[in-house]
Amino acid sequence: MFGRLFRKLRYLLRSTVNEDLDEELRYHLDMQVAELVKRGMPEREAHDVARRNFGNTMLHKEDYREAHSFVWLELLAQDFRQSWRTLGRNLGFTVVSIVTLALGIGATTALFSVVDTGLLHPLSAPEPDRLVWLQEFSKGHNDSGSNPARLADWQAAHSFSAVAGFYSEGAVWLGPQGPEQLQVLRTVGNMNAVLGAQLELGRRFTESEIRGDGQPVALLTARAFSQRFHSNRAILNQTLTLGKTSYQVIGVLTPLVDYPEDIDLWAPAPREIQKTSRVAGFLGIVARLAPNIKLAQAQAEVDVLCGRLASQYPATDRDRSASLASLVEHVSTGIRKPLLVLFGAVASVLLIGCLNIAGLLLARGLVRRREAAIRVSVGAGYSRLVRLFFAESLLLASAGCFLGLLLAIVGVDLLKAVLPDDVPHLADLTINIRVILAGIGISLLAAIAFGTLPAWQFATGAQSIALKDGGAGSVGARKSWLRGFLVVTEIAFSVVLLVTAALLAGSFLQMRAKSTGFNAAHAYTFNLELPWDTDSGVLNLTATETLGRLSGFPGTIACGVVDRLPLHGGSQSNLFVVHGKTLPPLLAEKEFGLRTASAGFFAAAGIPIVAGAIYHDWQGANGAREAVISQRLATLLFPYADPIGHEIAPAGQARDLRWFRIVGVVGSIASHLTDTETAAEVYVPWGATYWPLMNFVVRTERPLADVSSYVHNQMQKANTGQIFSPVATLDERTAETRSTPRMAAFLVGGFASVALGLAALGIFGLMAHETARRTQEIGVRLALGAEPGSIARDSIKRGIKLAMIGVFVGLGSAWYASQLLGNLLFGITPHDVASYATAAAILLATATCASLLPALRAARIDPIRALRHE
Amino acid sequence: MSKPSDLVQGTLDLLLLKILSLEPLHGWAISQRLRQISSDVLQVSDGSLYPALHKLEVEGWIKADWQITENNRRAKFYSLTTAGKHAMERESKSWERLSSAINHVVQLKEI
Repeated sequence: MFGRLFRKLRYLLRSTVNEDLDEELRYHLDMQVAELVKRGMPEREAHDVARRNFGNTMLHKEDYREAHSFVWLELLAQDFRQSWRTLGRNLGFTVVSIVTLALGIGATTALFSVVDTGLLHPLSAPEPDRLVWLQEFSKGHNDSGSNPARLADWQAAHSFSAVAGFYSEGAVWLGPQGPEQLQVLRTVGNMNAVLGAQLELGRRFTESEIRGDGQPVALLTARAFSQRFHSNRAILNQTLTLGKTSYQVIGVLTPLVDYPEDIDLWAPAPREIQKTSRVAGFLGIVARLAPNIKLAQAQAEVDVLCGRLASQYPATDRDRSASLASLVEHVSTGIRKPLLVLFGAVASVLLIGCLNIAGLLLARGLVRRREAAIRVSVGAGYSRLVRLFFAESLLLASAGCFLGLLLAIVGVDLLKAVLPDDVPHLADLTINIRVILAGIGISLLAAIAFGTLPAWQFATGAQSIALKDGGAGSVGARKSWLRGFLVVTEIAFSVVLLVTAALLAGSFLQMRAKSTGFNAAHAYTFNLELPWDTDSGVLNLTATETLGRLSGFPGTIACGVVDRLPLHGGSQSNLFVVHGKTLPPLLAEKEFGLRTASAGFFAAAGIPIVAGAIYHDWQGANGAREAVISQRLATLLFPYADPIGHEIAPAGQARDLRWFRIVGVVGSIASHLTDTETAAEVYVPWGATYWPLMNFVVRTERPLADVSSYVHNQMQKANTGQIFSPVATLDERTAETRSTPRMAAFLVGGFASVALGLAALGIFGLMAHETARRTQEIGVRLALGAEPGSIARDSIKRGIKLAMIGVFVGLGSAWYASQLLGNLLFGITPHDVASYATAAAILLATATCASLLPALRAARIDPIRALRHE
Repeated sequence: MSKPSDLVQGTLDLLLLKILSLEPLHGWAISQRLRQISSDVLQVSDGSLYPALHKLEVEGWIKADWQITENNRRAKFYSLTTAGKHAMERESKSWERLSSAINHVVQLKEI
């Protein structure tokens, strides 16, 4: 195989090939002549005979060259030159095709760049597929995290070469432009070793620093180094004061360290945090698999370890388990499905565009039958015709690819604005070499998709018809059947997209219409994040003062503070016991939500009081502890009794329970937008539990700008050095979970409308072409007395018939395809009849409109003109 | 890469390989030799001789180099390569199989 190629290449490089052959053949001829002359033939006659025996020397030479060199290469160049001319002659067609392709390829490539960075390469760490995320579970429930003691157990496992834990916290830095909020990654264990994090400057943490001993030290991330310190190397070994802690900056990480995201500096967790008991849960655990260890092997070891820990520490580890997942998958879990659905949608649009171009090429193929026939008659073979046609397709695809890649560059910026933030590395989305290669690959596939059928038709058609000019013969009829098939396919794909869009939109509307249990209208929110070592006295003072200022705002109806806003997941949860009551096992072992809120929060967020009252003493420091529970919890725990007056306590490891007297029942709020159940929760006064993240909620009729400027001014006046987040509407902040469904619905809807437009164009093109082809026939009919109306009806009927077949096939495919949407849908089944009906109706209406114009043209044909036509 | 179904083509390849296995020859000599050894039964037209040779050359079964002939002219001498030797053995085996099979058929007598 390679030997042949090599020999051919050698011949290609040798310029003497022709002379060699000439000389070889001449020698043969001369010898033959000599022989004949020796036998007594006159020399001139001998020459003739010898030549006659030998046959056509030219043919020999061609054979020889074909055998020895890349003739096809020369022919290919010829094909491209011819195709170039053909495309140039049909400028309209060429421009439409290239624009369609460029849009399709551009959109597909841009979206592929998101898939590439977000799903395929979300981590820049070396050997990212060796990194795993360790998730711990308590009684099968997703637990809030691990703790340093358990981390030490995982570090003892042989399956990992390194294991580290981390949590992040905000800290205020007094920078040159005033206080700034920095995000600190607190590490436990050797995070550098796990992630393979390299340094741009300075040194790593030493063993004792990793344990949290000695003076606090920190590594800056590349992001903080460039954005906050203007890449000034002088920062090395300087002291950076964040809140109460002064860190010595010992180094700067390379930009390749991109996990965890949005971090300004790494600092080992303080010694006392690293000594936290096994009860706590706040660490995320990442590990690097040891060489030659597979994920399943590591999981097996972790399972064994869990069993051992359960018997060693029954009090804390009895019902705990842990599971490993590839870190690459972990960081892209939430966005995987929406992205794949979007990619499928955009690829379908590209496919429909290709089918459209294929339809146009088929139509042009009919016109070019004569050209094909002439080419055949002057000796072009079947393969040559196919090649010629593919050369055209490739030229179109290359132009489309080039423009498409340019569009993709613009498209990526658009996507950055549209896509939700939870796409990993959304900000540094670029068109890299992988994406460009993918774009080229996509273009080649497109060329094959739209070039194959027309090329086949062009070549076979040419062979069967020869040179006679057949008008609208049987060949034409077959070709139009082919185009009909293409149009049906286009329609079917459009229907699938429309159904998907309708389902996603329906799901989004359901989500928006869903009662959240609180009233977000006229409510505004901002938050304050204090370091985790803040004294609880300071914490409560900050809350009191801020609430005091908020009440001072003219127009404030109510204001309050809460540890987590409604619909913001990750609520603290706990097992609860009720005083003097034995709960059935199902409830005793079920964890319920625990929220800390000031008394004003309920009015501010518009959560109604169902029974009793809200606790008054929201400081709750020493006096009687009071709580309110959500209606859902009330029905669960006290189905036949009045919950007010009962005492409830979080069941912890601590021996003495902290009892809270239930003083009221409030309306349940949704725990998650996609959850059908509302939250069963206990609210305890602010300060009853320690939580340094404060979400302030204020209810007022005044507009956002007023609230925002008031808060800003007040905070500046107070000059506490604390950084409050910008004020936003409560709806905006709590609807963040809706952003992915909304984005998916809008984008798929957009793609579906483009698909619809293309399908309409396909139908229109086919019907217009048929009308043009049947001009003569229609002329005869009209001359014989046919009603123009019936001619138009016939034409529309054919369009609708195609649309019906397409819709039928499309609905069937959508029935299966929509099941893939799975958990993207909320409150709507994948087989929602209304969505299917809407899609079908939209398509049939469009198809009717698209075939209307050609039909009217058919009806208006002038019989005399038509009969003279050709 | 001879096609076994193409009897004439395949046999010509075999004949050429066989002749060249004895000694390197140029085109004209090959055609003469063919005629001689088959006592004029096999007459390969010059038109098909050279394409066949060039095909074998591309296959890598024979190689060609320019040498001076007995009458002091430059001519292209073809000789067998190792790959060609193997090919010849393969081809002659399959030829034996084929010819003996045909012989069997031809010699069938009516019972």
